[in-house]
Amino acid sequence: MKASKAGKIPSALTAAVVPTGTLLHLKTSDIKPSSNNPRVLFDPEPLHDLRESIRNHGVLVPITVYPLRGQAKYAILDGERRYRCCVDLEAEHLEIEIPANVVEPPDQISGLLYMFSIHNLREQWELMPTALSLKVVMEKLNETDSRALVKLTSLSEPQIERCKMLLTFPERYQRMSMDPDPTKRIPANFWIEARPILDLCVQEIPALAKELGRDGILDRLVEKYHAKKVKSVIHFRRIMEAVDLAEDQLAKRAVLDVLGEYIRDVQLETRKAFDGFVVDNKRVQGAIRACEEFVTKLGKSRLEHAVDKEELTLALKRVQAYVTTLLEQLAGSDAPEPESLPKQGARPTEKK
Amino acid sequence: MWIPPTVAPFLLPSQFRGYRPQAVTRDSINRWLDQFDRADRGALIHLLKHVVYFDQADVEKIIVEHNEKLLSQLAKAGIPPEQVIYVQIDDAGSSSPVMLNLLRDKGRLLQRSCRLIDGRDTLRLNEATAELGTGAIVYVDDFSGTGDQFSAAHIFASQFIVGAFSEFYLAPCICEEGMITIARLGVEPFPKRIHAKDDRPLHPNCTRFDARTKDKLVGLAHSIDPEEGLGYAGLATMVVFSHNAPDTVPLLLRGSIGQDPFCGVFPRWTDKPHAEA
Repeated sequence: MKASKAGKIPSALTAAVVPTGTLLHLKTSDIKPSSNNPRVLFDPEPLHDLRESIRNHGVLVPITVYPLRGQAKYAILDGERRYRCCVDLEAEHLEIEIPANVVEPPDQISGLLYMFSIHNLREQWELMPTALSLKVVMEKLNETDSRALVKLTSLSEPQIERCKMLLTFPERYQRMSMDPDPTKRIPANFWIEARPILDLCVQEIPALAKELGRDGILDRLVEKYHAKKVKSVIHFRRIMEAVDLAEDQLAKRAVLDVLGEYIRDVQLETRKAFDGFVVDNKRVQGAIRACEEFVTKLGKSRLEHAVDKEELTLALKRVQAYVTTLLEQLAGSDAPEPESLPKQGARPTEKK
Repeated sequence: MWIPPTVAPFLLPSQFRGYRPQAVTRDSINRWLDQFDRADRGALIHLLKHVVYFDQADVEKIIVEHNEKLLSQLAKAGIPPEQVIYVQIDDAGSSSPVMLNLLRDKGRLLQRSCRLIDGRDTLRLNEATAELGTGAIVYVDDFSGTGDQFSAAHIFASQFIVGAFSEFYLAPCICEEGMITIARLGVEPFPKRIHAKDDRPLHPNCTRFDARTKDKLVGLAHSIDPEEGLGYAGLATMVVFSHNAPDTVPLLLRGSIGQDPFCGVFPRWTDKPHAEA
């Protein structure tokens, strides 16, 4: 199939479901539930209402199924919720026949696109299976444009981009996100959050990149994750934040030096390594905001014509002295602190 | 039911020939019996006679023949062997890979262009199903008790299956509880034998032993382990394979973990003392 224009759905996909004209009444045992783990798919409350409706009136709207080759069962295309309710009711010894429209088995792409619609309903769904399914769609339809893929799959554009990013990692890393053992599985977000760190290392620390290689750096991060030295993959953002907040080349070099040490030393925890850069900078940003607020508030108070000036003058002088000392310290001055002035970092206090 | 101890288990060892974790001999059976009161030994021998034992040759024959039956069924439905993916559902140390290797060699799966995949290798499962688009997936194992282990593995692996695939669980024996669990997943159980509750003398639903004898034996089993005395999930299964006993077999037959203080006739590999394991 030729590549479609962005956002245009190939016409072959619009005729995905072909009815055979057969309406059957099936038992739950005749039906194969969706393999996409429906147990966590549906909200319990609406499901309860539907179950009560089926208990009283039966299944009014036929489900859509297709015959499975080789297995005496029908696979569900549409109607998983109705099926689930019938299974629940069966556990209460109520036998319910499910009306089912039988259609031709969907082709692979139609089946995949249907699967995406299920993925979209699932919050707990791992991103890696979605990414792999997207890969099949991209290959089979020769379509890589994100906007076109959004229309085809109903995934959001950020989801598509995240999936695409996952697919750029070598297979052995992809496998790590597909380990059936959840204690060994690396979450898909790990790769997405680690990617900027990898790029940063390769671009800014060439010696490290030469020594370990891109995969070697990634291996260290994986090792660190397994050693529980990455408490949350979101903590990787602190590294980028530390770089972004660096005010000059010297400060940036300091962050990169720590980054090099962080990659080499598996036991060095992310926050421990980078919080210093981020938190210090956050303090500065907070102080700037405090200065702006202080000046704004004083300005709004219109103190130029205040009556009781003595107390105000003393308070302002204390501020002036504090600010002068701080400015000297920031400029690198070693001037001793006047005894009458508040210590650095202390807030000016009201005179009692 | 009381059976006089004079009915010595002369013939029993030959019935259990080739049990690999520990040879079953007259001595090992007598050592096992000696742990109990003389009055209980007849019932224990009777229990032992209810063990359904599959030796290596039985397992080979059953799995190969049964697989042929399944392939024939699939071929009639238009699924050639090239569209059949065989999946082992557990790690290398367990019985599923043993069964799949056996089937690979004896059933000539590779020569028939079938695909063999480790169920934990979900990337390959994804690639294979994406490439085929349609066909059948056959999970291979020796036994299923509750079906819970398979259910957990299947729920994860099924996320990676792309396309319309019939699914089967091929095993020489499946418990009736497992049959229900597996079928609920939409996977068709394909066993040679269904191990019914009534085949298991210590199961609450079985009436093969009189109440007094059964209570006595169940009590003995629980004295070894109050929680798992009747085996995993209290299934009290009686099926034993020459390569290992399922963990659903009562501890009365398997013995304590480490075989101390209580030795069994059919210890699992993992029941044996570490030095021997």
